[in-house]
Amino acid sequence: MSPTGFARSLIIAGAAFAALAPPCAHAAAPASDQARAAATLANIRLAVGTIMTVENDATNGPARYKAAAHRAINLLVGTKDEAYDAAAGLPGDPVGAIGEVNTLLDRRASPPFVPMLHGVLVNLQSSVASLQDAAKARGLGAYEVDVSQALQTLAMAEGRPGAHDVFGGMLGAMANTGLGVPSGAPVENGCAAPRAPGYGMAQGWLVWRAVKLGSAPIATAGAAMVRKEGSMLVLYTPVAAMVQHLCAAKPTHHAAAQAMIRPAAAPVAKAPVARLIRVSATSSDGGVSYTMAQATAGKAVYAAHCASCHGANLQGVAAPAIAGKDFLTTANKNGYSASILNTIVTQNMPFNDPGSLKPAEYADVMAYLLAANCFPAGKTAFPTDPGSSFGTVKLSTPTHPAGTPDKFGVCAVK
Amino acid sequence: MKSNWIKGGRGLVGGVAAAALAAGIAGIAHAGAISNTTPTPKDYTNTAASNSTWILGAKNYDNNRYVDIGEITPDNVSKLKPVWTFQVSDNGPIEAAPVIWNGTAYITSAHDHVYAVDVKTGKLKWEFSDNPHVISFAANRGVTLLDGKAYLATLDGHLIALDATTGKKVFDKVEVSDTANSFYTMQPLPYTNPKTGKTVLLLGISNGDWGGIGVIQAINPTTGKVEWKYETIPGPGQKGHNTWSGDSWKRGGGAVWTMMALNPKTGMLYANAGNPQPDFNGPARKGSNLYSDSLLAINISGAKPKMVWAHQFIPHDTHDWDPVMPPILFTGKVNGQEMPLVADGDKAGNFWLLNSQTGKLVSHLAIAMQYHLNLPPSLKGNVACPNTNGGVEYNGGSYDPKTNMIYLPSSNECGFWRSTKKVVYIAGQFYLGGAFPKFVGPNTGQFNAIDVNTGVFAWRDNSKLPMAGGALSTSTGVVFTGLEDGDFNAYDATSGKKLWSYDTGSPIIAPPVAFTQGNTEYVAVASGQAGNQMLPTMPKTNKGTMLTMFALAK
Repeated sequence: MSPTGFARSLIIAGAAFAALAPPCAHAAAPASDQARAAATLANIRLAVGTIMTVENDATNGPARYKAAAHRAINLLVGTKDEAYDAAAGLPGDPVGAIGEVNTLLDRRASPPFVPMLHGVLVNLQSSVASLQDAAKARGLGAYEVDVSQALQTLAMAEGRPGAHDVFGGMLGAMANTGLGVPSGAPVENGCAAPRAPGYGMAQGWLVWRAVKLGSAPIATAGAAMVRKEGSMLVLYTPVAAMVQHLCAAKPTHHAAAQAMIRPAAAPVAKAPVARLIRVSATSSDGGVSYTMAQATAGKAVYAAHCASCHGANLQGVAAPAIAGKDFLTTANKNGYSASILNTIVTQNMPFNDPGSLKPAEYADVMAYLLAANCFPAGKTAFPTDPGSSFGTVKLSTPTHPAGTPDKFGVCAVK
Repeated sequence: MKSNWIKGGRGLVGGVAAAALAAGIAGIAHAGAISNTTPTPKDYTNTAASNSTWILGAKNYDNNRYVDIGEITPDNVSKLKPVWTFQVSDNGPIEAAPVIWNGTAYITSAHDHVYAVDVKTGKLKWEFSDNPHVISFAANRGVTLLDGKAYLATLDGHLIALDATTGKKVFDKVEVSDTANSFYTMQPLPYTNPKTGKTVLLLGISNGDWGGIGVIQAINPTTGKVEWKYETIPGPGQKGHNTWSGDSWKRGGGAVWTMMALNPKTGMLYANAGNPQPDFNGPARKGSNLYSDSLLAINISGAKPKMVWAHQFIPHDTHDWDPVMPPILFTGKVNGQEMPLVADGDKAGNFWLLNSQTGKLVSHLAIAMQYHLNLPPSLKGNVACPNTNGGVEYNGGSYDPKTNMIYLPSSNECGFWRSTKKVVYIAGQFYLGGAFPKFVGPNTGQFNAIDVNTGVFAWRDNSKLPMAGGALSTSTGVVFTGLEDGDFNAYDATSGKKLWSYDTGSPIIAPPVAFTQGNTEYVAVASGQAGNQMLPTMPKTNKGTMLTMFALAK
């Protein structure tokens, strides 16, 4: 790595936590993942800056602010894209923010930053669309509306370090994953406590960054927790608390880190270790409810619309089994929830005429399937329009089956 | 006439008729053991010349489903009568031709049962019942007999080797990388490299609507281990990778799930790569999406497979219109000139004729109703034809070298398609970005005879229901196909005149076979449930799942 490249990396490493990186991605094509991430962030910020500059200087007619929209688009799409406008000038990075993100996603593995970058990609594409509208806007008012939309999505693409899901954006990805680790920096086991300055990584997540205490100021913004440990300052990332559960799956070297990171209010020893990784077989079937009347009605709907492929005994003919041991084993293995099952049934079924049943009929069929899978009935009806948070209970063989399963593990429904 | 078209072909077989005959009688030495329990690699190479066996799904490596017989002719085909019917206990759709070897018919059923049945009597010799977990569609397209074993590739991604004499399990391996979304429906295709003498079983994985990417595996038949695999969707750095936006290629589809054609002498493998994914949401995967919806010509004679050419039929498909017809390799006359050809068909209702050496298009013919071919599904929904079940289906057709015609069933079905805003991958479930289409309007079919010379129809026979029963042509000028109302029909190959019909009582979606055993010529076809070809307009009665064996009344 060239000295300039290394210097740049150091500045950008700060950006991951401190969110203060100056735009600086104009040089040669970046090589490392971290440099690409930094270039993306820099391009996003430059695009915002470009828009804001004319925002405060919009009195000289439309030519100026429309050119700014084009320049911002150029920063996002790079020179190769159809949307690139040569007249607006080369912004620097020839592949643009979207090109950098695409390159980062373009790999066989799926590291933890992938969902965040998907969010970035979608928001950047949306920003480009809004900016294209802005560049064609008639009058300042219409321009402002479109540009406001673009600024919103650009802000989401920039993200925040505290989130490590699809809303994390670039800052979330750089604060919580390997994208925040400069090429060549010392990397340690993130499941263990820090022993030397460097970056603690576990399964693609960045858990902590340890910095030697000295005279130079240390930027701590973006860290969830900062601790002085010996001669080092350790910056724990927002994702650290979650990652310790991943570490717990291999019970060897995490005890120290666990004790340190976990807030005292939630005793670590009693935490259900598996929960964040795999929701265990349910002890409460309370996430989903249906009435026996629904199940009985659903039996008739099933016979008319489903049984020809899934079989009268629900063990499948041309289509898979959807109740009993075979079904529940697979459902458990693949992590199906009642909500996922409901999505499959209402969106894809019946196979030859999806969506053709009435909402009440779908609810009845769902009730029938739950009953046939020996889930107990209740007083609350299966809803006709369950929200996405509904029925998160994972499907597996019920601990206390309602009824006596037959040899296929199916409970009879009257 | 037999030798005529063999010589006129691509030099596939030379002076082998005698050897094949010998194999039928006494067996051929293979791997040091003398046995005729299962075919040898040589038997596979020579299968086109043998009329006493049916060991590859579409008769031979060329997939032409053409058989050289003498007894059954257009004049006497009306005297065909069922000799026996074998009721298959595993009720479901049968999509496979039976494998015929050494007096035994090996029937495979929807849930990976294998029935070894005596060809003359229809009596069961042994049965193997697997009943694996079904990911989505229950189907099996045949076992492969080799080295004394019957190889069965299953719906839960297992490759099971059975003792071909007893049906007992010899080994059971899982070589798919993700059992949640990968399964087998294909008959393993044996390939023996003439240079090394080494045999592998070629298998494609059905994962193309479930979030996988297309894979062809070469499996060592002795150990069950994968020797090499070939992926149809180019990864980073590979040619064609830039035809996928972002990382959409990772779940891009292109599954190889229907029969492949092979030139065993040159090691050229012809494989159809299926539709791109998510099936109905194009914006999620901008670009032409290579090599989905393509016919790939791959040289597998070296240490590693190498693509020679690829022909994409539908760039950026948004309707699950993949080419699924087993490609037919042949040398035929086009505009009076002999050419090396490969015929293919897709679910959009297109029939394609390509130069088999270059992949260049020779002719194209729409053989099913087409509408809105370039209109992607919207959130509100729109109509396009054919629907996902329509056009040309997985059994394809037959090529008759005497008439220089392709006989190919097709379906007219329309669908109402919807895409969704978001696409979520759920392990083991469809990865569609929409829903499979609802039926719109009438669903019909036709049996097409396509004159290769002119590239247009010689004749067509219409059916009230869609057709997916493949075809069989004989050297005597008879063509057979099965219908979804249960009828099994024979036609005059030249005129298209219907000569004979027999109602099996259950929908036919399996291709027919013909062979000679002793002094008798047999024709057989399986019928059962319609599976995903099911329609409300089908007959309400169903006589169950069965194989019916026909011969001339004597």
